[in-house]
Amino acid sequence: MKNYTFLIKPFFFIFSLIFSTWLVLAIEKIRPSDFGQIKTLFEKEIKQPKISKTDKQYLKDLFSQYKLGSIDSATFDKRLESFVISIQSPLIIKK
Amino acid sequence: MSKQFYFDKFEDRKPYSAITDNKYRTWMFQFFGIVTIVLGIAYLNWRWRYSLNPDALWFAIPLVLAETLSYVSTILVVFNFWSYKDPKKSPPVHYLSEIEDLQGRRDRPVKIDIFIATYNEDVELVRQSIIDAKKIIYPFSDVQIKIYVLDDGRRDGRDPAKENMKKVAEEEGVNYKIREHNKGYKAGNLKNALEHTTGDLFAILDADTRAFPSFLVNTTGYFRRDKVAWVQTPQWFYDTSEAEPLSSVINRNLKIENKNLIRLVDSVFGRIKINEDIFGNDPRLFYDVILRKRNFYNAAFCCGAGSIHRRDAIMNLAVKDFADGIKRLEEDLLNKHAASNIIEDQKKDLVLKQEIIPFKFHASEDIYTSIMLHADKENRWESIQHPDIECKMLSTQDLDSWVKQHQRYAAGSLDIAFKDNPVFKNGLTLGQKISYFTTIWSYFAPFWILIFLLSPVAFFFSLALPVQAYSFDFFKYFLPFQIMNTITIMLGCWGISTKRGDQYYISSFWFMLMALLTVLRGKEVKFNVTPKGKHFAKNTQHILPHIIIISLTLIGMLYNAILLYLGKHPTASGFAANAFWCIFNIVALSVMIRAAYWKPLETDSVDGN
Repeated sequence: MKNYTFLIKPFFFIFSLIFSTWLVLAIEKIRPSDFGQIKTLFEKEIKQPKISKTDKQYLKDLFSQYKLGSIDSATFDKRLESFVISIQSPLIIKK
Repeated sequence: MSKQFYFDKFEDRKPYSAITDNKYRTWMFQFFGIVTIVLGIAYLNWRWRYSLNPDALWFAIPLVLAETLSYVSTILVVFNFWSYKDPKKSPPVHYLSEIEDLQGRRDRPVKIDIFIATYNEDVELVRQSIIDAKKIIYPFSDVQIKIYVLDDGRRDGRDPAKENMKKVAEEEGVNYKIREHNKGYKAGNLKNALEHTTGDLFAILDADTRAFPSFLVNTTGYFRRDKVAWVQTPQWFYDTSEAEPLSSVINRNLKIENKNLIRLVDSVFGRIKINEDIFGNDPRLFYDVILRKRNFYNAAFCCGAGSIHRRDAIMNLAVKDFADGIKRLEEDLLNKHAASNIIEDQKKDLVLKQEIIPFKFHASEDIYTSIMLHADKENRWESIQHPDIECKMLSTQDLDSWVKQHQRYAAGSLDIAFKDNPVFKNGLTLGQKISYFTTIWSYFAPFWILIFLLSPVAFFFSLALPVQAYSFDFFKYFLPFQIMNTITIMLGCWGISTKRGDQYYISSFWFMLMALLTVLRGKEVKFNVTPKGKHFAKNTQHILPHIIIISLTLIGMLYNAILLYLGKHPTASGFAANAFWCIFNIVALSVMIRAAYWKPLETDSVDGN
């Protein structure tokens, strides 16, 4: 058995790595860290898509029409999708 | 009655057996090694491109840079440990024709010289080495084996204040050689010996190197291959500190005398053993893995003591250097006195001024000479790292000596890197270049080690994290890479505990940094003779940086714990991650602090101090 004592250290190290990972992730779940504004360093900063007043009005109208039953859910879905595509750009992932 | 030494009690220790090569383990190592390299690329790609915290780039960039540099070491380790390739053992040589082409000369039995280099070591300690050298056996009675004590301390009786080394040599019936200066340190001493001896093969032993009877029988056979320039045997330190129960260390240091208290301490801590090889002197990992695996690339270098050399190879190199030196001086002369008629007269002087130097005059003469021999395109000399232990030696017994010895190794290697870098050396193969580069690269480790040591401290006091998030993303890249890396190292060093080696790799950062600064400042790297004994003073200066880093770490942890308690800590998980990191740092750093204050269980009154 003494011949295999050299295995203790690597296995202990691996165990410590796994345990500390679990611990850190568990703490993150309970109490998320405040890492501040997140953006990637080597990628251009991507601005949040701006919604104009006209866009806002369009959305309002769309929802009202759906609520009043003047359009069915398939039409609503189709119009909403094309609206999103029209203004869509990669979003900045916020914590 | 012969003089008593502290190491007398270790005389019965038996050397370890060399690791048996196993092709399946080698394949596993190669597989895991490649996986580690690939995972490392993925991890570092993610780290550089996506993980850096833009709000703390001052912290994030140095850390990721340190990780990248450390990753280079990982690649080099995989390359270096790729495979064992132990050369075939052959029976000992008898005639000269077995080791070289005689080219018409008459054949005769080989001549072997054994050099025992000494400077200021206790003469009775050297006597033991002489006695053991005299016990070396050889199966052929007509093979001449001569032993020479090469005394650079000139202890031939002229100075009554010094011990008389010459007398000891005469008493033991061996040859004694001195020179009137110390030019070239050990290399100069060997040069002097080679000028006065004629052995076809010569063995180098240090003052404390005690060869086993089989030393020549097991090594000279390699020289049947006519391109083998030298054979290095592992250096085995048989006097490393023994493990002792933690309870006895506590009782001794706290001066506990109460029997009940002693019993209590024994029952709690008695099973825990500490301080085994406290200075991390056991070089098994180096000789049995690092150097031995370099046989694969014909890149194992000479380490001095315990090596045996072909005179022809070393003299061939020296003569070439001599010719090159004269050529250079001639060119200088021509440039200076282009139109002068005094050139012819001065040319003659040049030959007289130039010396034939077999071993490079350098603090790391052994590795430097190895590089030059490997780079000899004409001869393509080969080196061999013999796997089995053929001699025993003494290790440094106090931190001050240990630091000086390792600082010399570091500064010597770095000096070669800056002045005559093997990477750019014509004649070396790619494998040899990478192998030598690995040795040099390892001495740059303090740069990234220092960052790894200071990173948790930086976090504790700035509360800034170098990464954007401790998300699953981080761990999905980090964890597989680290686990695979650990398994790869484990397979590469199979059978050898790397615990102490890892601790010293980290805790050596400071003196290695100092060695680097010495070389960068252009200071001459001096050949400090390693003391063979115990010198317990001057140790604290070496551990001040360690104490400072540990103190800052502990204060930082306390400060963060208070913030957590008050509910003002912005990242509790960051604290947990750094706390784990700190435990490893503190354990590694503390070994040197323990070593600084370590004393053997029994106080030895004899050892030449």
